[in-house]
Amino acid sequence: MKTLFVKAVRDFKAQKWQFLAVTFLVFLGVALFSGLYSSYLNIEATYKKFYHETNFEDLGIEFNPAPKELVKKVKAISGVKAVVGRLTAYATMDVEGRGVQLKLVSIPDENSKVNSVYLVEGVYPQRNEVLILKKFADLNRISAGETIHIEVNGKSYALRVSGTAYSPEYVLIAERTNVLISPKDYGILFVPYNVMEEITGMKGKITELHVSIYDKDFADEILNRVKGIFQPYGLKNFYKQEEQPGYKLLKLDLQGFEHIAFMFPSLLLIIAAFAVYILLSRMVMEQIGIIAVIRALGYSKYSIILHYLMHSLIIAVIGTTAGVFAGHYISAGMTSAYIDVLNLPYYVTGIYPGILAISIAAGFVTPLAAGIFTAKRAAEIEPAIAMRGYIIAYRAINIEFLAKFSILTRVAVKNVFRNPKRTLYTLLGIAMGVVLIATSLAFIDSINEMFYVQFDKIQTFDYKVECSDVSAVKRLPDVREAYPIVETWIRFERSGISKSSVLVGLPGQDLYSIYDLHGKRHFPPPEGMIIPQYIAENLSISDGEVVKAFTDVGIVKFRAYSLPQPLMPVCYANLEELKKAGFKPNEVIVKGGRESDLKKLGRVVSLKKLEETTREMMGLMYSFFAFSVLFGASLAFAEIFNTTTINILERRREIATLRMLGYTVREIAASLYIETFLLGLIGLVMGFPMAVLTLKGFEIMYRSEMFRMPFVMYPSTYAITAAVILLTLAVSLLPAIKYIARMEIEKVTKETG
Amino acid sequence: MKTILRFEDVWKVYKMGKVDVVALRGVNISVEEGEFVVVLGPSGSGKTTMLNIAGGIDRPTKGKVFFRNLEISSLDESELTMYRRNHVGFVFQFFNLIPTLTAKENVMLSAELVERPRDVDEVLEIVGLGRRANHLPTEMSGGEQQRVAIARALVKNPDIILCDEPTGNLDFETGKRVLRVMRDINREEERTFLLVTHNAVIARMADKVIYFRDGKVVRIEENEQPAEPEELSW
Repeated sequence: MKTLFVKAVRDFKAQKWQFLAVTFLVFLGVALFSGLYSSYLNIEATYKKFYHETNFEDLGIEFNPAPKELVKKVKAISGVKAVVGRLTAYATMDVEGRGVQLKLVSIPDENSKVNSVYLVEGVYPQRNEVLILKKFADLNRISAGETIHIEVNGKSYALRVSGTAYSPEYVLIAERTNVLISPKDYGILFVPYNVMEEITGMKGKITELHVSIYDKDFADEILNRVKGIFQPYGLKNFYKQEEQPGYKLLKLDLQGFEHIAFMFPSLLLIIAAFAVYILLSRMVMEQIGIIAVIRALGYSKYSIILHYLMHSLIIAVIGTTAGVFAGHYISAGMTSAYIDVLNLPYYVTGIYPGILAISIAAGFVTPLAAGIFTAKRAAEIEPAIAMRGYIIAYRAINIEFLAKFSILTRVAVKNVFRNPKRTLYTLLGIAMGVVLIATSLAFIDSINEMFYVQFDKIQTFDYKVECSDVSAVKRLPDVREAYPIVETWIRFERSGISKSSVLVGLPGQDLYSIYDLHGKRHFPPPEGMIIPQYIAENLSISDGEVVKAFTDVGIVKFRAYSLPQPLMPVCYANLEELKKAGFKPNEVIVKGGRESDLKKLGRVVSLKKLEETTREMMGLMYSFFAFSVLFGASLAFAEIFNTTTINILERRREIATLRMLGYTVREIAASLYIETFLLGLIGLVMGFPMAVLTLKGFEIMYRSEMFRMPFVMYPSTYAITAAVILLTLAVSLLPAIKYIARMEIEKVTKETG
Repeated sequence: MKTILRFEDVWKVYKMGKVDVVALRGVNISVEEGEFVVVLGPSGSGKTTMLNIAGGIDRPTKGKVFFRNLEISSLDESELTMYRRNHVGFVFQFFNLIPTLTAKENVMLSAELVERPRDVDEVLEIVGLGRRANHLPTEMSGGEQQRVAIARALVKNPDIILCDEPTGNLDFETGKRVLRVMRDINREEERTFLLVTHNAVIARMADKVIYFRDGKVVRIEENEQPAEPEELSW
């Protein structure tokens, strides 16, 4: 067996580029799985640790101003561990001539057991001092000791920054009606309660309550009792921990990350398995005579299986070992990059034995499972072949229609059809290359599509102003169009399941439109409401059914119509209908106008800025997909290079014969190019549907309640993929042609003997 | 002398699509220990089929084949493998060396199969290739490759060496040198050789010649005074 091992190593060396290409695929699959999945676990461990350390709330409730003393009543409820009541307000501030939004939050006591503030630098604020969210401070170069000037309802306040901090509520900043918030343009200030009383003019009042409890099983019961206490003042919103906007956004984002961490490496490993199968199958086909001799010498079938599995094992050992090491570094880099986007003071990294075990198992199982089929087939080869020799039975192909062409052209076309197995292997190799390149490029297409759908189809206005006076907006210079809308929260509850969303009331206009997943425009129904498909499915709401929902104006009843929507699905209704139900327009959408003028009327959201912010926030995703494109292309190259060179190598006898007959290298090369491009075209036709199916798989895996990525493949992607594939085919023929030019015909002939 | 190999009414029928091809029709032969037997016959006469069955790489359709007292025609797949491993050495017409292994490694491949193999270097010396041990098959002439194949067969210390047209792919002089190596091993080590060929001249050096035609043994001749390989000419 020692010599058979030597043979396996020599086989590896003899086809080192082919073996290295498939080993690279296994390496990448293992590295990306262990790297990405470990970083997913790192991030999860980080935020869990942070939430635990900072006593993240179990329940939250928002209401109209109510006496602060009610906190005691909540504290007295059985099962409540800690409570904090607070005031919040919105403000603006100029940073280097740029207007930024601020949310002011009354800071809990230093020893508070709910939503504790994690002080990074400086001290807890005293009178006229504030703590500022660390990332916002860093991005805007604000440091402790500095005085900032903020504006609330047209009144200016000077506050000294006593330090920077993080908070469990703002790991990811999200509001109920807005989840795309730039950490640079939206800051959180933690302000002493007495300062907040002064700023808001609500002395002795609170507008929010945050609760931690002993047992989460009693969350609903306790929430109901808390709601009962504040009902008389008018409830605005309430949630359990899993519905807290920042927490929910983080969870869903991580869920998407987890799916990608699983899907992408799995795709690579499936392709690696195919590649190993193709490589070994071809090797066995080429070594039929050798296998027969080894069997005739007295080696058992079992030895043959072990021998060919040894090839898989070499791939597994190299690919997995390198993959696990690379995975460790990918994990550290990815965790750091991800945490950088979040408002977290530190990150936790770990080595996860489970992930390590799965990575190693996947790295070994992939080539071994692919290899076992070929190894078993090799073991079935009859030793008698050693005596009588082996001739591949080619099919007779009728190509009379090519009679006008040269014999080499005819041979090229015949080659495509005469050995179906070999052709199939080649086509599979090309098709996999297509899948890798096309899906990687389609990720970029999908991000561009997302921006197109959001900012060129759904929302085409320039600004959204928090203001109820549309006439005041219309009077401003350069405002071309302005429409009042309602934008508020809505919560559905059924059979113990609760789903919250955003409710948008639209008048007849073209600045804010409703589109379904397939790009078809819809309008709010004259009566009733469009609801996101996931809510209808989760709460079993059928079309036209009358449902109840909690809103700002209390419980409302309406007919619901489900619609699958791209990106962030929300509820839509006719503005007039909402007005009848008691809603008042609270925002104005504007085309034209100037931000500085609009700011005087209320908080302004600039769509241009929002798009920039979104692109900035998608930076990490962009890098990931750009990385995918790069790897997709290089893998496709490796895969196709592999397939093509094996194709030539296994026909070296035939090519040597052509050379002996007097055909020039150029003539043979032309014949090979015709054959290869013909295969390339068929491979493209096979590969594109496979790529679309893969993309569909990604779409399903990446889908969440808050976000539905429109996975698309632009025509340019088809064209680029086809060009890259054909170019790769052309380039991968070059070494083979070089080999043919240098081929020592005599030696090759001897090999055949 | 004891009988090492015996065929008793051996038939072999191959299925070629819908047609039955009868390769052996009731063959009865025996080979004695230490004999140098040449099987002679035209292409398609059944001689290679007989050799395959004798080597345990094929099974008869009917009849019995004995190696000493062991009925190899009734052995299962793994028992046949053990038979080939422990008792048989093969030399093929096309040498069938592993191209990625050196001469020595090709011989070692065979040596590793048995408990007490012969010394690989010594065997290579016997076939006159001591200095070519680390060369790859593509770096060797046809005659050298065939001598590596003989060393590969010999290193296992087999009871019988089966050769299928061993000179069929060699020129006249090289062929004679290879035959000389075989004859020396046969005489000095009293090792049994069963050699299949269509070259009638080679029959002159055999102790026994078995003539095949149409799947049948047509004649068996004992050679009282076998010729030396150097005396042969074709």
